[in-house]
Amino acid sequence: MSARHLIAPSARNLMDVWLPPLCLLLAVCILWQLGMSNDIVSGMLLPRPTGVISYGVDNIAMLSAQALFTAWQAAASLLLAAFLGITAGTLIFASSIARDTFYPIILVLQVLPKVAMAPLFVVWLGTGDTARIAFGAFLAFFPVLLATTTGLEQTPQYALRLCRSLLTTPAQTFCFVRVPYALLHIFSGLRIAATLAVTGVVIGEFMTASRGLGYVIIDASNRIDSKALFAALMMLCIVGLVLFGLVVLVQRAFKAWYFGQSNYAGGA
Amino acid sequence: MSEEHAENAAYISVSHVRKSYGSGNGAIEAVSDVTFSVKQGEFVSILGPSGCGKSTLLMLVAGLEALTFGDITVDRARVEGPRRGTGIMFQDASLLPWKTVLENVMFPVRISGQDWEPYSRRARELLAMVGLAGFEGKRPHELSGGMRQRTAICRALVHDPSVLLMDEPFSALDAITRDEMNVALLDIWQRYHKTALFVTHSIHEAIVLSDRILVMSKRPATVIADIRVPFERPRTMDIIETAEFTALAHQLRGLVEGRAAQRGKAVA
Repeated sequence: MSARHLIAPSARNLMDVWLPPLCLLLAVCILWQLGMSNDIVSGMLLPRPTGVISYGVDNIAMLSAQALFTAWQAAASLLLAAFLGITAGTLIFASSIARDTFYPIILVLQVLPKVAMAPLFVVWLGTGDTARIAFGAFLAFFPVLLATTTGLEQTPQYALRLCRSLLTTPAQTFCFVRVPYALLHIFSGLRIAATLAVTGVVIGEFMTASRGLGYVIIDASNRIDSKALFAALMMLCIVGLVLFGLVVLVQRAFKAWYFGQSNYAGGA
Repeated sequence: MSEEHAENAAYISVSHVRKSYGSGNGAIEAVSDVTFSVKQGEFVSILGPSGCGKSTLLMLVAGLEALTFGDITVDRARVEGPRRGTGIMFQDASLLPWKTVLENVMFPVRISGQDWEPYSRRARELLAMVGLAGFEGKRPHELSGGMRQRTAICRALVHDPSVLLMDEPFSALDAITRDEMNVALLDIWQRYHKTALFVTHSIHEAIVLSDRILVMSKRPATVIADIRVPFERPRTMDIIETAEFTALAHQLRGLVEGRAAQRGKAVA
């Protein structure tokens, strides 16, 4: 219910949803600012909110350029992960050989902290964009794959029984019934993947980049420049939110088709 | 084939049918030695207590479950799987949520790859008959439970099947909607005269709709009485007011509850 409110809010509950957290954020910033004014914590470790904002405004050109760089790589990662994840998820659903071969490996990889494998990507693919995009895609791939396989498997029994009674071919059952039911699952997988794609690219930038927000963060940390660090983090939030928001927009368009436009007119 | 012959021949023939689940000592018998037949154009109800295996029996006739022993033929062909000329209504409407009412009704036509135009005209005609004219473009979630089952009736009839099988299609509806559905089904059946097999645990519903009522025992299901319903067709709901109706309902209740099997035999 709450998830759907975030995805398909009407004008009224847009306020209901976003007002409380925004108020909290504002209150924290004010307290933070007041606290910093009394020099409880060194400004070097924790900058004042106003300091972060003024740094951000002064360096907006640099920060936006770096954010764009990170954003397009994360978007590329997400698209790659979506394509590979949906393809692999479908194969694993459709072929018992593929399932028996890949599923155990995927489960082991699920348990493994995948971040630990980032250096491997640098070794294999060098320090360029390819390694970062590949690592972002690698992180984002698994939720898409699992959502696809689960979604295809969880077609309601009543729909499958209807198909059997109508003597549908396996291909018809798959295209007309399984895929439409699975799409809702796949979109929730893609939402998780959007966040992981950004994570993967930033980790890649920590290690290899001379550009991007991950690089700005590492560089600022080396210089103990907490204002730059916080400004870069804020930009990263925006990048993450935009990518997530794009997935949600596509999901909304899909849901509008799935359930009909009128579902959104009333908002409830 | 002469007209006379067609009327007397068994269109659906069920002989010595058994169905059990599992094997060995753990086997559960759901249907035990059931024999009956349904003539062309006849409306027969299978009446029995909840969970007695009557739905299983219907699924066997539909070819959606494999029988353990015995023989079922429909239109002189042995039932070994689902058959195109059979329309089925399930307990739930089994509508696809992303399809409109018209698209749901047309789903069997789409699956069998027949021409859209003549059937869509028929679909609209059926929808109008059940009072859903103007709802063709709505999605299932915009409909009430009764409207969903009306859509399901139309879907079961759209490809002009010779047999209509119904598995407690109105059991999830409230009493008033249920009466409305019975009227709708009565109208439809009186117009198209499909050979119909209707599973229900409602005595009232069975009398209103049927030419004959087969009363089933508790699990494992077997036919304990075969009772002809004396009311003339076309019928209206007015028959409920008659003393004959009350007497028949009383007799059937006795049979279902296992009190007066002897009396049932005497009447049958």
